[in-house]
Amino acid sequence: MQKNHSSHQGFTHWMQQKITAIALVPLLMWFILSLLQIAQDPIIYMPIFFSYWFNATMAILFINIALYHGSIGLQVIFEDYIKDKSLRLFYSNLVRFSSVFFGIATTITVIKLYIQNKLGI
Amino acid sequence: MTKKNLPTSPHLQIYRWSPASIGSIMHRFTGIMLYILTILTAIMIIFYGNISDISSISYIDKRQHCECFLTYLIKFTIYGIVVAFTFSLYYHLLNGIRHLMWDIGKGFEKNIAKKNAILIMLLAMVLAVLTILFIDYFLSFYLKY
Repeated sequence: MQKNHSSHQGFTHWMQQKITAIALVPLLMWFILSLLQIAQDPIIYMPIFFSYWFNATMAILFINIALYHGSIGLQVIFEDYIKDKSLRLFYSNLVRFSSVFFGIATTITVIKLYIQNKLGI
Repeated sequence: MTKKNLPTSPHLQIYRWSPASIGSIMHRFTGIMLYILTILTAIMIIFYGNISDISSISYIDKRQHCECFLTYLIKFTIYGIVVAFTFSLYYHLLNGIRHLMWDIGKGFEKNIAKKNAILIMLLAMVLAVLTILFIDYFLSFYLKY
């Protein structure tokens, strides 16, 4: 198995950005349609919306893939505009940590809503 | 030892703006806005999903209706933020599809790329306006201050 010898993972980051972009095209369309449904009254509509397995799956996929695509993209932007290496690493990791945090928190909340509504609680 | 910020030559006032350059910088800018929007969506899902745990706050029931200037300011600010996010959503989606078409190899010719850039800007604005009108027909719940 050949390892790449560059100091930065150039190609794999670009490929991951393109593949997450392809995945996000249908996910973003689903997100817009679901926003139009939920935005009318979130307190009432959100538990009903997340009682369907398809909506729960798409929501978890959308939030995590969007936050990953965004954190990679923001890393590229920081590399363009911030010249100081330690400051750049700080902001890149800040974005990465917040993506993971909100991804896990949203996943847990959506699973909780799905299970609660299936059990009828 | 930190490097000092050396002066750069002026570029924004010198070079001519074109649809392609505006499209490229708008793609980057809407990407940043969309990251903030995704974080806000995650916060909304977490907030409204766990509302039973924090319902002791119950300020949601105590919405007061006040017809003063500050409420109109808040309403216009929220409108502006929602319009900006909707436009960012549609623009980044359409321009992202244009980037993926470039990766396949289509759409490189200068006249086609320029027409696509203008078309995407107009289409994103039209879709944003349509979405806002559709939501506004139902969303008076939020903006009823």
